[in-house]
Amino acid sequence: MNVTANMAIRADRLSKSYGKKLAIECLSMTVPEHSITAVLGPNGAGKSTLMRMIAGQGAPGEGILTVLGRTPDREAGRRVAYLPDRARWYPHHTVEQAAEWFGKLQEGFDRERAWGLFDSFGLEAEMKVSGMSRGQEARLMLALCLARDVPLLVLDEPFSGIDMISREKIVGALIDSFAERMQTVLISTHEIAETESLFDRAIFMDRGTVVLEGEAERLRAERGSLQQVYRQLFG
Amino acid sequence: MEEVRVGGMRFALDLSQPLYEQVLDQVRSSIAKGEIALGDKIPSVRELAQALKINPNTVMRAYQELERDRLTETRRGQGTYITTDMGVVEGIRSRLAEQAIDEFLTKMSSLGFDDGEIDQLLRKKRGMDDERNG
Amino acid sequence: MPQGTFFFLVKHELSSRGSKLRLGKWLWIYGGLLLLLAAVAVAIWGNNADYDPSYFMFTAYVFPFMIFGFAVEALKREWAEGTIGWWLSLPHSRVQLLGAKAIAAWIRFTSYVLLYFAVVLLLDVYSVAMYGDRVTSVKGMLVLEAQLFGILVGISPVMLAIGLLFVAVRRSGLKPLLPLLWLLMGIGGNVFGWMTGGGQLTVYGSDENLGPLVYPIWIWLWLIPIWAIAALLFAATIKVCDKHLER
Repeated sequence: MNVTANMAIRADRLSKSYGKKLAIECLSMTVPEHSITAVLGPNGAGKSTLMRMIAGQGAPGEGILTVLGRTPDREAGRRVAYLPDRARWYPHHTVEQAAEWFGKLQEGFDRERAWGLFDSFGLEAEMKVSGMSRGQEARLMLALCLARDVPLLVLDEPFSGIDMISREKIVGALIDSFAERMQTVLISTHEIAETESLFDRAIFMDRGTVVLEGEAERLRAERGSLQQVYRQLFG
Repeated sequence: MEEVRVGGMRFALDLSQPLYEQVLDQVRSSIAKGEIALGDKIPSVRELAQALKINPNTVMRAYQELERDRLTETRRGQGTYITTDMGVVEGIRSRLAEQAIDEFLTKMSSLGFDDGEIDQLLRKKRGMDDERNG
Repeated sequence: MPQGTFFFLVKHELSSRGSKLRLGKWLWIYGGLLLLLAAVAVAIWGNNADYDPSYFMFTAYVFPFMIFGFAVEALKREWAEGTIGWWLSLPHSRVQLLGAKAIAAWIRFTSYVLLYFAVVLLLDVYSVAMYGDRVTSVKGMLVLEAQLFGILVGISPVMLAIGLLFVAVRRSGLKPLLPLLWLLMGIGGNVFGWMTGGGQLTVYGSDENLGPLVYPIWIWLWLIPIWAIAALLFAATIKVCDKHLER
């Protein structure tokens, strides 16, 4: 079996430091194609740094990182839809303007799909971002990402700080999108209990490295729910 | 996770156990119990994944095994249907019954009961139930 | 299509929430207030023998620092609004992204400067009408404004570049270099003053005294090395954005 061919992302002894601080240290992991993989771990574990590198922002210090078969530079980043950590949207935009911005500046944006998502998320064209709740803003940003027809979706804490209804809508949209397209999804979150049923695979990180990785179902058979595994590792 | 009703079937998923097995089991027992009839259409992979809020791959894996067991058949362009073959369903019922009996006997044996005692207890229970039901 | 992208980026920048001063409605309110204030000032002090409307041009010494401020604001906004992740992930060259911010900052700045100059010109017209030959002629004011504007345009690339570099360095591992940039900003801002003769802004009376107002050619030649420095600083900003940012 040609293992490399099936891996959307492959990291081999990756390291990255910011000045004196080592954000990622000797990190190895794989993310198979057409899976929803979760990156879980406490704050400061290096999850965001890893995701940023995968999205093409920031080259590794040491080690190898392969995303969709190539080095993740800015050019390769065109095939990745990345939702940054702590992301907000331009407050002066309306939903319509946000779609225009994304459409004109990002690759593979499907307007029809975007409006379908906006509708199911209850977002209207003239709504101003500055007047939106955090949940609505999160829905908008996720809709923009999902509307891009790209092979890899990297979502850094998309559920952070939003209400339950918004989270459920986002989970539903992810399931739909994933069922419809051959896409690979990498997602980090702290809301494990509410979202673990979505994951094919889980990667647990701590202090810049991977402490446990595996198929979600196998982990459940061996150790219990992913939330329980998290407690076992970090509790 | 809380109980969800989808297309006649009831699902109550426990996140601390593999989900695909649970989906499989619960579809099988729904069929055996008659909650869904022979030839009925069951939800698509996407619909079930949406309803249960789980990964479509998980549902697909369960559906593939159901298809392998010939419990379901997929008709192109139309969806997935329960088999009309009664024999297959009977086979499932027997298998589930066997499973339940095995579990029961294993449990009793681990509590220290031998076959004779088990028979006695069963007859006694039958008798009590008969009395109660007049 | 690169052309369309750049134009759109600039348009986006201009429509963004700028500093408290933004293009549009507030610009006119600001202008109107300025005019009113100035008219009052003239009415009160106009009769004073020393009064000359070209004094209002002394505030122009602040303008280069304003350019720096607008550039800082343009880039800082991405962090302030939480959109830095989106901006960095755009599949376009840093030249385009940073360039659009620089251009937009320059457009914003220029609109304020032109407004200010227009107000002062009007004031001059008013003053000439009131006090005749005693004050700078309208032609003189126009010549003065034109040259000051020319020099401002000339040094704006370097002030814009310092502004952008300042924000980028502040958010990077190269933070310790910041004092150097403050120094650079100070020097850059004062270059304007030096180039405009350090005080040689006013002229009294009739058109014959216009002579000192026309700056010699060599002043303008200095713009060449200044622009070269601007290009270098811009390239440095691109490098910092590519390699050194620590979000």
